[in-house]
Amino acid sequence: MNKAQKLFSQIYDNHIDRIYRFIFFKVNSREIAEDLCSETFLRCWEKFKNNHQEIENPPAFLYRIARNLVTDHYREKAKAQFVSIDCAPIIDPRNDLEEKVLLNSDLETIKANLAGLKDEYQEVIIWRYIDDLPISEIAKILDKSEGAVRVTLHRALNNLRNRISDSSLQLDCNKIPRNSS
Amino acid sequence: MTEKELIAKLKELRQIKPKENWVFLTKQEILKSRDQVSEGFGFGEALDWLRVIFQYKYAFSSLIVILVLFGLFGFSQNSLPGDYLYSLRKLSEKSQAVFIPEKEQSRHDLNIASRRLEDLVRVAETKSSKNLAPAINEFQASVQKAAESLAKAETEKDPKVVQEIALEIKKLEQGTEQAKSLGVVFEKEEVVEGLKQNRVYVENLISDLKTRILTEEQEEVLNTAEGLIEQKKYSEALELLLKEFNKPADDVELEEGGEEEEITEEEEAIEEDDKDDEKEGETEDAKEELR
Repeated sequence: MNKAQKLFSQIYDNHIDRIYRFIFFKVNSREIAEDLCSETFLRCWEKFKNNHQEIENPPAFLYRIARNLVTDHYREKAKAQFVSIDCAPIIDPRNDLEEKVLLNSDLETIKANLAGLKDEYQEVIIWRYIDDLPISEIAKILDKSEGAVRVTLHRALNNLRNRISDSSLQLDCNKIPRNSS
Repeated sequence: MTEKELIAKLKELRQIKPKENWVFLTKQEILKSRDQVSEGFGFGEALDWLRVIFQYKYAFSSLIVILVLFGLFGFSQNSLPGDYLYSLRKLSEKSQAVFIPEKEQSRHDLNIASRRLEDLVRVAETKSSKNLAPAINEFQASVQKAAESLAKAETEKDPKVVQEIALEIKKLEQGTEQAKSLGVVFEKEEVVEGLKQNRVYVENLISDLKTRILTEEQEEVLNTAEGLIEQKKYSEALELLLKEFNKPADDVELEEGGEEEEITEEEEAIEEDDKDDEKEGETEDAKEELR
C-alpha cells in the first residue's frame, strides 16, 4: 500500500459512518445510501490519488460530493416517475433489527420529521447534533459565517421541534375514538 | 419535548451505521480501482513520479551519480589502451591491487601483464592503428613492473606459486609470439626475455625441481644449472632448465630408447682401440700356437 492509499484509508475509516448516515437521512433507504456512499468515496479517491494536497478539508469535500450525489439521485428519480406512471413504489425491506427497533420508537418520529425539513435545516442538524461537527467546520462546508450557521441551527431546531409536536398532536387526535362524539 | 431532550434524542440517531462487511469491501473495491487505472502509464502517473523524484531530489541525484559511476567502471572493463575509458579501467585495477597481499603481488603483476597482452592481441586483430602504440607501451610497462616485483619477491619458496609464475611467464611467451605473428613489432625485444632471466625466478625454479623425482640425467642438468647460477649465468641456467624440463614426453622416451644407438666419437675411438687390442691379442695367440 503506497502513501496515498494509506492516507485515503485513514480518511475513509474516519468518515464512512458520518457520510453514510448523512446520505441515509436524506434518501431513507439502506441500499441507495450504500450506493451513493461508495460513489462518494470513489469520486473522492479519484481526486485524491492525483493530488491529495489539493483536498484541504476532506470531510467538507466528502459532504459536498454526497450532497451533489443526493441531488442527482432525486433528479433522476423524478424523471423516472414522470416517465412511468404505473411504476410501483420501491419497497424497502428493512430487515435490520436495529431499524425495526427505530421504527417502533420516538426516534422514528424524529427521523421522519428530520427528513421533512428543508435541506439546509436538515444538514445543519445532522452535522451539529448527530455527526458532532464544530460550528466552524459547518461554516466552512456551507461557506457561511459562524454566526449565520448558529442562527440557521437555532431556526432548524425550532422548526424540527414544532414539526414533532405537530405530528404528535396529530397522532393523539387520530387515537381519539370516533364513537365518543 | 424540550430542546435538550430533542438534542439527546438526535444524538441517539448515531447508532445508525453501515454494515461492517460492506464498509470493508467498499474500501477494497475503491483502492483496487486505482490499480486497474494504473495499468496504463498515463500523464498523471508520470507527474506523480516526477513529484516523488523532486521530493527526494538529493537522494535521487546521489543515487544517479553512483549508478553512473558503476556503469562507467563496468563499461571501462572492455576498453582498450588509447580509449577514453581506459584510464578508469587502470584506476579500478590499481584500487584492486591495494587489497592484494605483498606475497601475491608478483603473481598479480604477471596477471596484469597477460591482460595487457590480451588487449594487444585484440588490438592487433582489429587492426586499430589508434590503439596499437598505447597497447604496446602498456604491455611493455606491465612486463617491466612484473619483472621488478618478481625481483623483489625473493622470499617466494612455495613450489605451487613458483609453478604458477612459471606458467604465467610461459603464457606471456606464447602471447608475445601470437602478437608478433599478427605483425606487432616490439621496440624492446628483450621484455619477456628479461623476465625469463630473472635470478629469483631461476632460483625458485631449481628449488621447485629439487622437490620432484628426477632421472639421473635431469639431476645432472640440475647440478650444471646450479653451477651456472654460482657463476651468475642466470639466462644460460634457465635455457638449460627449460630445454631439459620443457621437453615433450615423446622426446624423452626417444632419448631413453636411443641411448644404445647413439655412440659418441670418444666411445667409437675406445671401441676401435678395444677391437685393435683384441685383434692384436688374437694375432699373438696365433703366433704362440704356431711356435
